[in-house]
Amino acid sequence: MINGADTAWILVSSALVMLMTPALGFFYGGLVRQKNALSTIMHSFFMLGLVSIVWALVGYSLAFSPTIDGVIGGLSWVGLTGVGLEPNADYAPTIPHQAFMIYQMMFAVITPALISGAFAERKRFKAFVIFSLLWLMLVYVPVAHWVWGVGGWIRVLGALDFAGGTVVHITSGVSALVCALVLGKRVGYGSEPMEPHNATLSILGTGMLWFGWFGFNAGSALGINALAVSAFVNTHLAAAMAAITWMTASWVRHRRPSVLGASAGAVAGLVGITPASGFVTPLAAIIIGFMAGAGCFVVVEMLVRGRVDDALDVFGVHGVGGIIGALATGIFATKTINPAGANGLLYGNPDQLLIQLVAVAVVGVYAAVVTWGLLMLINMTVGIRVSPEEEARGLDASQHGEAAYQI
Amino acid sequence: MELIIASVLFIALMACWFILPGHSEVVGHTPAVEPMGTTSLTPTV
Repeated sequence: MINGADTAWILVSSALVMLMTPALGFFYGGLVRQKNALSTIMHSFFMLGLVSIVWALVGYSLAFSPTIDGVIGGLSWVGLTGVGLEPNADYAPTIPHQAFMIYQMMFAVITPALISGAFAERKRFKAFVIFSLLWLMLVYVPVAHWVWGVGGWIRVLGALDFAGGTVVHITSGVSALVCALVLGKRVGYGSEPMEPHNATLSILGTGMLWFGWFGFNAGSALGINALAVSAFVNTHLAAAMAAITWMTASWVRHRRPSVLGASAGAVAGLVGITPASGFVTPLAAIIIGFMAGAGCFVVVEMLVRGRVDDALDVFGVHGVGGIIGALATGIFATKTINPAGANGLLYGNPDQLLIQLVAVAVVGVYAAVVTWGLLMLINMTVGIRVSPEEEARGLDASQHGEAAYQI
Repeated sequence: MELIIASVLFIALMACWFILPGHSEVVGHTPAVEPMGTTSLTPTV
């Protein structure tokens, strides 16, 4: 039976998660050089159009319709056939099926956009569009089915992922690392300054992401209930702890309490708590925030030292944060918070940590291999990287014929 | 257990803030945040 309050909450949450994609554009856009600001924002904004249509036509069906051997959904819901205004008891029994569908659509929209930070300032727009479309269908959709689809093999295995630590952040983070390695460094990387052109824009983006993340995590309760409140509280506490942790680490390492560091830390905390948000206590969320803030900071430093040009630290924040969060779920999860979940290591169930580890490893390797194959294919056909001359002019001019600022 | 770990971590962070020097103390001066004489409120001629 449809519950009006639950339906209202999921629609609001869908709108909150939708807002995260342009917010990501601002977060990324402020971090690049001025000549690439607009193209970087476009990498997020365009996904709202592309992925939404693909999701309605075929993506949702392959991700969530009745399973084929636990590997992929079928075609019975293609074009939203059978996805009506009655609830689907398997996924969300108190809201219209279309509300669940569009909520999931917003997750699908933001995930390919997350990857774009790794190849910022050097990828052809045409290549970006083709890559995002294929990546959605070959990585996001199958993994969403494995983890969240009824009968999906990772779900059957017992892995916990409340709001997408594995489905969203590990897939995008690992794929981002592969993108950075395959595309190579930006021209001038390491020899000329590549400072953020507008730090305030990035902070604005972070604030909007933090705001939208309440819909991302608390909305994943799929109703307005105690579990949603728990996820909401955990989300905020983890982000807060991670922000002050990263800032402090930056202060120790670079002798200055970095504002952008606090901003990146907040995002790391939000990523880290995502898979755990509906399974852990508020105190565990604070610890997970610390783990994500510190762990992501260390890996980002290592990547910079190793001269890996993951331009906007997508792997360092989303990949590592997602892995930390997924494993921490296997440590801190408790059925006192969510009886439908499982106990973790600290609550007497070490097997849960092992299950989480298997899910992380399989999804990480799968995302890496498919992403590498896609990049090779695209590079052999349309070409993946702009010419050095185009890169020097900037992607705003060379790819879009527009400028971010006329001042 | 979780209360102890969370409290210790937060206190450790706070301790860092008291111990660590401010940026200007490290570099020996407070860097200018914007060049003098270039804003619209400051006549340049």
